[in-house]
Amino acid sequence: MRVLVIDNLDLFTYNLVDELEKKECEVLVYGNNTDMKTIDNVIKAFKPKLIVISSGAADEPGISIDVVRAYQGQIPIFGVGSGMHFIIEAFEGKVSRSASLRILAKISHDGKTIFKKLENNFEAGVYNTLSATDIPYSFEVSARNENDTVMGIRHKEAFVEGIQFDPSSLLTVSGSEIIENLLKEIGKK
Amino acid sequence: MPQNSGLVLLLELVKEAKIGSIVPVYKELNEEIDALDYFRKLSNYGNKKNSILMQDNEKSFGSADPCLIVIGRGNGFEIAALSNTGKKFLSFIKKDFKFCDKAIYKKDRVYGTLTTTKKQVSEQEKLKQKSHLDILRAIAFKFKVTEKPFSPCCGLFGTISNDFIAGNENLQVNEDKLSDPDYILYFLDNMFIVDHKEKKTYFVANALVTDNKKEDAYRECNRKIISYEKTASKKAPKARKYKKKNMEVSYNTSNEEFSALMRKLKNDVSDGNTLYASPSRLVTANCNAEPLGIYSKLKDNNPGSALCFINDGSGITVSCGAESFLSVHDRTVELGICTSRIQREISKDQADNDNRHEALLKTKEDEIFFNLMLLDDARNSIARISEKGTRFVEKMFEVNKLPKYQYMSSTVKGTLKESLDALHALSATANSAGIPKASSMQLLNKIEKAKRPLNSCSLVCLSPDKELYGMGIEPMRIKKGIACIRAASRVFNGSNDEKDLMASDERASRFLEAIKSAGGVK
Repeated sequence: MRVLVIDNLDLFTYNLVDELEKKECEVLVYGNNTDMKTIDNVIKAFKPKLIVISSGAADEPGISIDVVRAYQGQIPIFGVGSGMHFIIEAFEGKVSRSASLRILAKISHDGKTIFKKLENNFEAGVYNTLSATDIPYSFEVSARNENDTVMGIRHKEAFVEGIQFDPSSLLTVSGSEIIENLLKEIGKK
Repeated sequence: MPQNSGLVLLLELVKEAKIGSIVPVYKELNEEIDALDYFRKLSNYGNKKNSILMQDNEKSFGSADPCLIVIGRGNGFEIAALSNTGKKFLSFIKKDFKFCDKAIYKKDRVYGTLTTTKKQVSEQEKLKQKSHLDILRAIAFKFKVTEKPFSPCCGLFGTISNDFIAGNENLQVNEDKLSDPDYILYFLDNMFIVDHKEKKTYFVANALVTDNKKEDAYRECNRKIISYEKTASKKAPKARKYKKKNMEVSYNTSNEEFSALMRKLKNDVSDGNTLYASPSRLVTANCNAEPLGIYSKLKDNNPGSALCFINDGSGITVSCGAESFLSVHDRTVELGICTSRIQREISKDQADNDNRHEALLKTKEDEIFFNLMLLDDARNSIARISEKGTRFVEKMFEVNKLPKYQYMSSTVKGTLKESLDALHALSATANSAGIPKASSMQLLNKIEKAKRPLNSCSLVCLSPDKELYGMGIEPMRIKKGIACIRAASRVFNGSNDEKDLMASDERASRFLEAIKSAGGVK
């Protein structure tokens, strides 16, 4: 499967890329400082089946928000960490500082799509210090942590999903299964 | 491999070597000489320009007669011959810099400019874009080594600023007190090596086969080896006597300013603009002793630490300890990170306290967070340059005990991608700013007063067989009797500003103590 990753300044992006490549994905990584015209041309030529918005600095979304707005509904989109926040911002939702976030979170989820067959309250690594405070109407919350902070979101119609924790962190033992589920779900489309 | 006793056979090897080869010629001694003492003699107490010494627990390397020096500053670069071998080397590679914007060849130097390419390409392609690392590549990997009695037996040795590797040309230029270059490296065609484990010493020269005058190249090697042997029997030079002066220490950022800077970064962490940043300030002190004397005191005060001494003519680099290790060997890339560090209490009645410190190192929540974050970052760096699925953590959170302190270390390994080499690995892993590298570099550039040149750099050794041994170091630079030390701290979610401010002072104090104990200041 061809995957385009929008790299938000290299915050563990290649841990995720390695996870995708291990699952036989062909991955192209472009920085969030690439201009939109170049990305449009890359998408036209590469024809990705999935766009991943990686984690990174919250104040530097670069083209991430524009990519989500331009390609949602056309190509499946998956956001990680700040990538999830940029999805929320693309749909006019809000994120803000969270005092209660700890590196090791217990994730409870709805068992759908990327969380299929995963046991509830699995442990995951969270490096992000922000949390979603205003989820856009078109999204549902798919996962939360033990403090009820939003840890996953899913668009109600289009294939747009995001998780706040890092599936490629050493602390997320179920991370590989989440990526496996993600690819399976896209394969169904 | 024949040794010096088999001179004829070695001559045959040189004669048989193709043009473009390096043939190591060496003499092996079945004794472990005192490397520092020997270097004192070789470099006239460290005062000889272009002398270099690198030491760790396993080996010591030293030379005072490199054949080439490579210096880069901004877009400019210069490669200068330092010996006849260097002139031959230069002549041999003079046509290899056509990829540069400008490259002018003179008899004993090549100089020019190279602007790093900034095309809109994928991140995978970015690693391969034209940069100054291509200049180092053209020199380090030009010759083919015919024999490999040990590695490295020659190559490019020196320091490269980490910010430069990361591509800082778009950042504003902060105060540049030292006006240091961005990189200084030497091609060492001859050196002494002390293998501390095997208790052996090697005097090594290398025949660089650049033309058919192979016997000349071989004779030159023998001349160098004889010179190394003669040095061993020389009387050690004495340190110059310095009239005592008061020690004056100053900071370019006051404690209050530095605390405010750390608070500002903490806000950036809370706002999600960075995950971890390593702010620093410059500490300067008058240095009224032989720089090699200071190095010697550092060695005594910090047993077990990796050290280096480089006199490049414009200044002296002295480092002690390393933040990270990088090696590329047989296509295996290995990145080691040294994280949380704590003093040791080693006397018998304090052994229990020493265990308590170790327990703290392993269980404190902020340290666990810090170590995990750095380890995930190291995994990320190695994943970027490795064949898919080959990256793994070989060593996780091991506590290493040196005589005076203990620290946590982890190592990540991978198989280097077919299309990449050791310099790509260096480019992907060099980092002393924070996580993510680019945004923390930008944040620090806005708030730190001084540029980070060779005070925060990678010490590298690139061998012609495309292997690399490197270390992330934060050395002291001594220029005109003034020592300049970068005292770094750390800011992340959960870090303790006060404690980390003290830790930054402790790093600087290692150097300050050595300056003091070397004499000359009171």
